[in-house]
Amino acid sequence: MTQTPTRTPRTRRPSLAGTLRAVGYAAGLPALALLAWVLATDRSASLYFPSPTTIASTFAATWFGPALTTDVLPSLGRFAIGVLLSIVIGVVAGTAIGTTRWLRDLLEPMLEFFRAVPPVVLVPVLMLMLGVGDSMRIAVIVSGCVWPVLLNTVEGVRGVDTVLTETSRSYRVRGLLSLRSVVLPAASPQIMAGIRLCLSIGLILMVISEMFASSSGLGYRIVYFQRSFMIAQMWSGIVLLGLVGVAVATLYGFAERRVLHWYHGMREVARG
Amino acid sequence: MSRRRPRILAAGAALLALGLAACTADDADPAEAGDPAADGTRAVTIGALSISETAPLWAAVEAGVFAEHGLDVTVQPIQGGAQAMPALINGEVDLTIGQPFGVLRATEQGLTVAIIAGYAESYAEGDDINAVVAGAGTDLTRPADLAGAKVAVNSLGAAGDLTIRAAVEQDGGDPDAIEFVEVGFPDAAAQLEAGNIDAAWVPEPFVSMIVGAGGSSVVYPYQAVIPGLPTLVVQATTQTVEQDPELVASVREGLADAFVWAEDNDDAVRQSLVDNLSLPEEAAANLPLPHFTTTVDQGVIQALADLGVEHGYFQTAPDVDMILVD
Repeated sequence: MTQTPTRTPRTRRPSLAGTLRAVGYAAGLPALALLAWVLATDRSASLYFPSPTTIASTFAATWFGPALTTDVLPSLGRFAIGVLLSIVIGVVAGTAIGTTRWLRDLLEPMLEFFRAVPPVVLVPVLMLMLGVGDSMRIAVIVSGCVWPVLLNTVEGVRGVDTVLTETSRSYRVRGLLSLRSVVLPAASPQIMAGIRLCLSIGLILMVISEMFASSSGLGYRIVYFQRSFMIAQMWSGIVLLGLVGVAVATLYGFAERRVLHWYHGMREVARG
Repeated sequence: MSRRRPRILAAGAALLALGLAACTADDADPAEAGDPAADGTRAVTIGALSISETAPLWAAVEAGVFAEHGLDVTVQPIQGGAQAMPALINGEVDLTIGQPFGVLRATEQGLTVAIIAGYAESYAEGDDINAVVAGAGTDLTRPADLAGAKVAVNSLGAAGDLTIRAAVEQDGGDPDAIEFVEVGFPDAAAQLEAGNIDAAWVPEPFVSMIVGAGGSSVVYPYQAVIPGLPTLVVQATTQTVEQDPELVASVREGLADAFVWAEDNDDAVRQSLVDNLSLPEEAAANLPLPHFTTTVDQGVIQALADLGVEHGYFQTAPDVDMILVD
């Protein structure tokens, strides 16, 4: 990595055939799987395995009624707050730890310890400390999501090319300016990888945090449906979770392409 | 890299769907319930929660009460009524012991299950075995006070919150003003102490523990609304009931004998609490137990069904005549 980050003004215009092929690839397997599912459950009278058509017909009624405002949106809100907090805490603390040697030596063993503690076992403790409301649920999400961002930021900041840092230092690029224009951009591929992990962990913890001391939320609803033998509704909740996961991954994709535009461009150049 | 991600996700989802589809193929024929063994005894698996109410069953099985009725009973621990239902449907267990409300709910959703016998019921008068208890610092004294309070139940949408709602309404309070929250029984005492909740619906031994620590009993919701409401009943699929009336009859007789035996052998029942639940001996000796009986009062189950309809827990009225088999 001897080049400085540069912006490559390349845009590729996809051909029609290429677009069709991409859509075919993306939708082909899900469509086949759905077909297999329909055929397998078509004549099944089992309550526990309703057909996708039954699930689809309950989907709208279950989630686009009052449940949207009492369960879905609050859940997504807690997820968003939890993930954003994790990113802010992770990047700020990670940069501090990564750039300060003594802090790193002091904290690293402890970080490894706390990272290894599964957030699920912390729920009863957090419930006592923070009550049974939203703050507890957000804390559960943060307690699991912060680690990939934090540790990746530490690694990313520490691994900045020394030629880069020394060159910029000789040009008197220091302090905040150096942080903003040299260190953080150079560490951003690692940070973004951490954020991607953070998103999937956050979704899992969002569901888990609602299985304790709860009376609303996506995770709570799914368990409630399961317990009330409303199996088609339960499956529709699982489908909704999957769709949320796809939507979050797509949003992440957009963000990553913006933030790491230079990085992908550089790699394409390097590959020739 | 980022452009590939949705595809990978989609592939994962598709594989999952395929896997699930494959699962449906082999749940068609439930295993035959308890085939007769060479010596004439039948193996029967009964799913039961690991709670103090199961003590007489454990003790009676160990003492050989069921063997006299030609039954070789295995008690299979289960996690909860709803979790046990798939095991009952696919024949992994022949019978389960669970809440009557769960059976009503399951039949409403199209599962073919029935109540074949009673198991345990709350007390129609005196100290009941579950109560809504308030923490030390609150001034909740009567059911109507619960309107506007944060009340914990172990699982929402069941007999606990239903009877609390009815008790509050009966006392002139607004049931919609109760703020219910799900807290597991063992966590309720700590949550009350921390002030995160105002009151909690708990069974024994938690009632005694919380009241002993300065809390107060607000209401016995079962007793106040449906006196003598069963807490647990014995459930089977209607398939078992129709195809194997012999099994149903002998389990019913065996269980009735077991309860008579348990009354005369309280020490053995208390000992099984120590053995199976690792309770300290002193706690086991003093633990209040419910009334054990195999008879079910149809009027009481009907009252529970009616209450569920009245408070919007059921969309269609459960057919109690069909659910309760003799």
